[in-house]
Amino acid sequence: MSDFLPYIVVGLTAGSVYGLAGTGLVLTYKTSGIFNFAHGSIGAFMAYAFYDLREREGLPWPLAMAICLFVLSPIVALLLERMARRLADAPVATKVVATVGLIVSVQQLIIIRYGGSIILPKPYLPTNTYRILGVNVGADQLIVMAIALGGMVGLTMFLRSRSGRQMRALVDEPTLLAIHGVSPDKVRRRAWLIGTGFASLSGIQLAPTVGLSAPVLTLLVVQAFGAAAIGMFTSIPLTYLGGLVVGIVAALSTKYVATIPWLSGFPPSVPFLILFVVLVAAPRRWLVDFSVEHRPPVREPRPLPPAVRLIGGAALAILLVRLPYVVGARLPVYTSALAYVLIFLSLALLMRTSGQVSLAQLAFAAVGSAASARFAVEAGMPWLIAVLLGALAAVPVGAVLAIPAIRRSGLYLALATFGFAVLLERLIYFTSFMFGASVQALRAPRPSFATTDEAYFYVVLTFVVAAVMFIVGLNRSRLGRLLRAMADSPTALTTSGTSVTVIKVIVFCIAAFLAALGGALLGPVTGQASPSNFAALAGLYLVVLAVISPGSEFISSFAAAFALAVLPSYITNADLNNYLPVTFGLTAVFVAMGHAGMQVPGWMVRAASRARPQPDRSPITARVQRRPQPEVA
Amino acid sequence: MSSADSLYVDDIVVRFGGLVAVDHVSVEVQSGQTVGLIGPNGAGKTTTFNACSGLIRPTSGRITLFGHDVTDENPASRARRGLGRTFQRMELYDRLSVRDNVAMGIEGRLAGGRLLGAVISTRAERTAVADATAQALERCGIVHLAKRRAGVLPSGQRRLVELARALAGGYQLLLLDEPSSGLDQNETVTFGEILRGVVRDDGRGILLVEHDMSLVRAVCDYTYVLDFGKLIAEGPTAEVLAGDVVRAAYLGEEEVA
Repeated sequence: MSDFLPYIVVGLTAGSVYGLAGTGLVLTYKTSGIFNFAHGSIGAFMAYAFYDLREREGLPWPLAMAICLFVLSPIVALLLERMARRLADAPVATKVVATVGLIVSVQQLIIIRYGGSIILPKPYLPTNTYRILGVNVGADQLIVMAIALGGMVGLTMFLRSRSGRQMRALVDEPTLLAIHGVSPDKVRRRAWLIGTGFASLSGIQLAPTVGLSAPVLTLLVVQAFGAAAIGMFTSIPLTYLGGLVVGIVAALSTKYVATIPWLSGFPPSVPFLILFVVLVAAPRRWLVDFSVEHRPPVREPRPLPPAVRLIGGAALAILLVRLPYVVGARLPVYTSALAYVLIFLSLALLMRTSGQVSLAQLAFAAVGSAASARFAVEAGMPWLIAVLLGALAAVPVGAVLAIPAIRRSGLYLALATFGFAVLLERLIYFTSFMFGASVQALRAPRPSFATTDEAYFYVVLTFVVAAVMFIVGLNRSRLGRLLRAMADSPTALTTSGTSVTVIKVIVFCIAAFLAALGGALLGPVTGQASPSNFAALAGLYLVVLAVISPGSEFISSFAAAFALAVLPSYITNADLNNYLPVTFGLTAVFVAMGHAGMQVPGWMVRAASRARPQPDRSPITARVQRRPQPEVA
Repeated sequence: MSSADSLYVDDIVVRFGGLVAVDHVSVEVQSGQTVGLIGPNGAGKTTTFNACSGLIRPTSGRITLFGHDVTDENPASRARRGLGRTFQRMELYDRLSVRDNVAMGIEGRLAGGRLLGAVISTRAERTAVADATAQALERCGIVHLAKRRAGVLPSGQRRLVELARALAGGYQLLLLDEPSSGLDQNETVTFGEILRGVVRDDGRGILLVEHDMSLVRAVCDYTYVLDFGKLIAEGPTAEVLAGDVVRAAYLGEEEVA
């Protein structure tokens, strides 16, 4: 037993922080219906701010802490509450994208200000140790545990108070609360203040043990997801206990996997494993979806005139074919962009056509990249076969991801796919199944018939053309209709005789194949298949770009790939380039908020309706319109 | 029950937590027959429908479809056995054209019917889909809307699209959930004529949940009355509608309002 105790102490300390973060997350989700994917980013932001105030500005730590918790955190909370209010009626995917956009922006801002390397902040809590039950326990550990426990107990007491009862009433029946003269917005604001405060506190408390690193902190406070999953995203005490469980299991597992190198990714993956398992296995009635969804109104499609489309298409085709003679040394960048087009097309197939949210497309690309490189180099297969087999290797993985898609939709599917992407990255990327444990990237050769940059560009272009033709065909086929039907009304589809389960498995497999093909083609551009291209957080950036790129699924996929791969190479100013992801992330937030239908000013709507008269010109309406209006006294 | 029954709902109970939404209800519908299921809001009509089409599972009781016990089957396989339905809050494919919406009625059955049905369609199937779609559009008088998107139509036309989809599916039994709500009086009359044609010409069975008593009177041969999850009356439509129990439970409510 004494062997375990030190691990349990470490686990309890970390777990307390996860529990605190988790309760904050659950509180805001329950009251506002917005699941804040950027909860971890708040923690990361605040941890850096604390470090900055204390070590760069030289403030005493209690003052720095007070500024963080009582000035910065409330400002962030109020901004988030504004955003949440705008998003209240938006479709689930829009809500997800808004907070994902925040993650991308905040993380990049941190990197711009503090750099990408890990900073070890000076400990601020006393570090003297006590001997309790034969284990050394640090005073700092005790304080962290006490703060979390205090926060939890305080919150539970608060929920029993008058304001707390209003908060609980809000979850059940917001309109009723409004009728009784209590503003739901005011109550939600309180929830955001508390939730954001908890996230800030967790970030600051985690930093001394794990160090300051934007991606690590962003994902670590996201351990809160695992805790929240144990609390079924509803119960606050269970979420706190869930945090403790996550912390202890992760800490204990470090003891066991210490001797097994390929499992080294296991302990940090524990919360995502728990998250994934809960999302896949929990009975439907346990997971209540608090988000209110309103479908956006459907409009008649207004396709461009055929002549415009023909000329535009021809121009694009000529441009693409002539590209190698135009762009010179930048050609590889364009080749990468073409490979990304395939990944964006797979995203569009899932999110636009089929109504499924996936935050894991880049993980499929990783599978394709690693598998095709190994097939080509180690198995010595002909290049084309290696690429196609590499892409096929992702298909079973896609089928696995269809399991949560079958059981969940909307928010919980988004969470499950994100958990899946992180799991794959942590547990599998660095094993011999994929990229291997060595720092050296896998060699990804080009085909023997296209070793020059120009020739390889045309090879990738051929694949993209084939994929576009495939998707055009798919859209016109029975499967295309079934996919769109599933997105619009799964209930109607299933009562028409088609099992939605089968359709979901098929579309996830196709999307996995497409994304993996993109991944397989990406490596040979640089000659290397490297896991650094496929980080789970980078996958979020892809989703952001896909959402903010306008136009049909094809135009949008090309635009997004261009913004991702090509645009940065034309911006020579390094600072400006660094701000690109920030801009795109914030654009996603605003685009998402616009979807709630409030950003278009009234004059624009009126101007647009004047410019385009209503098509309804039936005699009856015409007569009604001509009839003089009675004077109102 | 006899084996000629299209649908036989045998003593089902549906519980939601502590609430008994449907309490020992039995309903039967035969081919070529139109049966009404009426009752005030919250009486359990739609819940009974959902149990029939498999969207919820009854706590107890059995459901038999064309002689097969389907109680443990999923909605898709019940549909493939010949059970079609519409929804009180219409479930259309808003982004698809009206034609594609209607086509999905039959394509849904074909696609779910065999292993690769969703991916591969044969020439014969494509012809069947085109024929059934054209016929259903014609029958419901919405040929002129075929190219419009379903999501932009007013609710009266959406009802017709939903009915056309159910007709195109070739189901031998149709569950129609308040098809006349959102229709004006003329549209309701037209709707009733379409329904009578369906039963008379194709010999299909219909189970109809409806609040518009004129439509029930016009098309239903036999009517069941639900109140608070219990069957309180059943019999030939004219008799049932004239009965005191029904007036008290249901029509009385209308008079007050």
